[in-house]
Amino acid sequence: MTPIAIEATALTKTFRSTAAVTDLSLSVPAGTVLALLGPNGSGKTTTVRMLATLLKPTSGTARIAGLDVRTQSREIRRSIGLTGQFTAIDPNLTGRENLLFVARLLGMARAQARRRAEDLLHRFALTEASDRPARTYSGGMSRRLDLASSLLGDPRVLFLDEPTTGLDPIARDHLWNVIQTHVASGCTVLLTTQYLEEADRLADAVVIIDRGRKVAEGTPRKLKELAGNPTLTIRPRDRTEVDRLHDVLLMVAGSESSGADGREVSVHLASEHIAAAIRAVDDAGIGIESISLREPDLDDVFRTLTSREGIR
Amino acid sequence: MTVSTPAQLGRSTSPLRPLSDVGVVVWRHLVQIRHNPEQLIEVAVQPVLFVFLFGIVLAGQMSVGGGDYLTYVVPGLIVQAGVLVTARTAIGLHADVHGGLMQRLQTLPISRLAPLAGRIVADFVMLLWSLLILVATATAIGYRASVTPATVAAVLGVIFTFAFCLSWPAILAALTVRSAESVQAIAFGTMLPLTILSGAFVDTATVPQWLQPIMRWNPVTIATEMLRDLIAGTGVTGSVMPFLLVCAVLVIVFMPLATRAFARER
Repeated sequence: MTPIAIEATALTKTFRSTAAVTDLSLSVPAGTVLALLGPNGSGKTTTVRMLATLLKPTSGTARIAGLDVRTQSREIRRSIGLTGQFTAIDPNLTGRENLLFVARLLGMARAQARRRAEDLLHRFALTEASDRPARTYSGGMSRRLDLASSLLGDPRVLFLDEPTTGLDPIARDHLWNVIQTHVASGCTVLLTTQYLEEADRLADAVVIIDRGRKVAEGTPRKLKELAGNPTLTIRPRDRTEVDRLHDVLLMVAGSESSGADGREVSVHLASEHIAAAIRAVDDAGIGIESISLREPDLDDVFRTLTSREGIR
Repeated sequence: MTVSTPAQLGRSTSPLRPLSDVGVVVWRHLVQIRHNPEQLIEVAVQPVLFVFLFGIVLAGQMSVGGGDYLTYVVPGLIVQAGVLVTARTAIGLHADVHGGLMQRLQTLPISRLAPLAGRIVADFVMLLWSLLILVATATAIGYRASVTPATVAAVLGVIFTFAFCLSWPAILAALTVRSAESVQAIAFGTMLPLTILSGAFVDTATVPQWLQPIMRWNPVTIATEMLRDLIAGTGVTGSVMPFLLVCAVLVIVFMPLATRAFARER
């Protein structure tokens, strides 16, 4: 049986009178990636900080690799890595010196620290920039250096708190690849993100939290199923036919929700009814300008579950 | 889950661990001088300017009971350097806490106070550098003190002790205040009056009556008098007790508050 690397039971954190996290339970099998997905202020960072021994839970328990976060924090710190929301590097040290600094604090001997730093600089494509002060690095490079230093101790459990927030798409993609490579080597990862795409791309399982509570969990695929049918959008050639198009599609889709924005009509439709819908539109003599079909994504799950608009 | 990681294998369990952690933090602070050598100049500018200001520009206006004003003011300038270094500690600490670095350090298996201790030691190295510049500049314009190596060691002991004690209120401010600008404002808003309203540069007997007790009990005055007695070789019986008292009060009041603020959840 796969051991459980991260286990939280009824974890709760209250700041003064505000509940940041309420009754949260998680279970992450070793070697898998869990994405903690939620909007700003939903308690993601507080959860990570409790699991990474930076905050004491108000109640509930958590174990990292079998060790209790309350009583065995020192032991836990030997086997975890954390990349927080703020880049944890010294801008006045070079990339290499930043890694040597953390490696030495992890207790590595000088030669071992040097080897480990070289290895990580190479893996994170930072060798060329390694002798430049980190303040000259781009956002993506700083993030990579930050992640590299959280991997120095070869952690069995890695916490990534919004690792790609603020990065451009190319830098984000690069970082995703780096994370995936590392996960392939057997590390357990807990990742927080506001980006549904990121959870979809990296995670084996997703827990959605809102206002400090778990609102859903499952594989990205299961959660997509929860979001329901794909969305079919048709734009008529003649804008005056939007209402008639709407009626035709509603007949095929039944009571399923639909929407028209004056130029096009969207309906949620089970995949097997799509052909029939398009045929019905054609039979009604409505000229079609374009058709698009969108598979439900985690965004839809999110919207359904948290009933908040404009989260993306 | 019985696989040992390389980091664990390489980890020593020696009782000297905390010391070597502090050493690594000191290395962090000093190695960056290599990339930023202007730091050395920044730290040196202040003592040079003040030695010129008090030793040359104002010296003609100052009379201190017939004695040489330069001889009178150098101990005051040494204490001022010790006060200024605490601002450096506070501003640097604030940046670490509000950037992500302190969080990373707190997830490492090291003593919680090692990052703080390492910073203080590194700042003392910078203080030593600024004192060297101070004394060299003063000597260049005619300052002479006949002191033994033992006296030099005692002077350094006094100024480091004083800076250490005074850094606790500075650290407390750095940990309680939100913005970096406020830390600077607090640092200079307290340090300026602390050094100006003291006996570092003037004889406290020459100011209005009502101001005298304030200036006399100012820690800067007390530390300066301790140094004056040490350097003059006149014996420290009168100044050592107030000095120790001031240091003890600073540490007893501010160290628990500061360490608690440091350990507090953020």
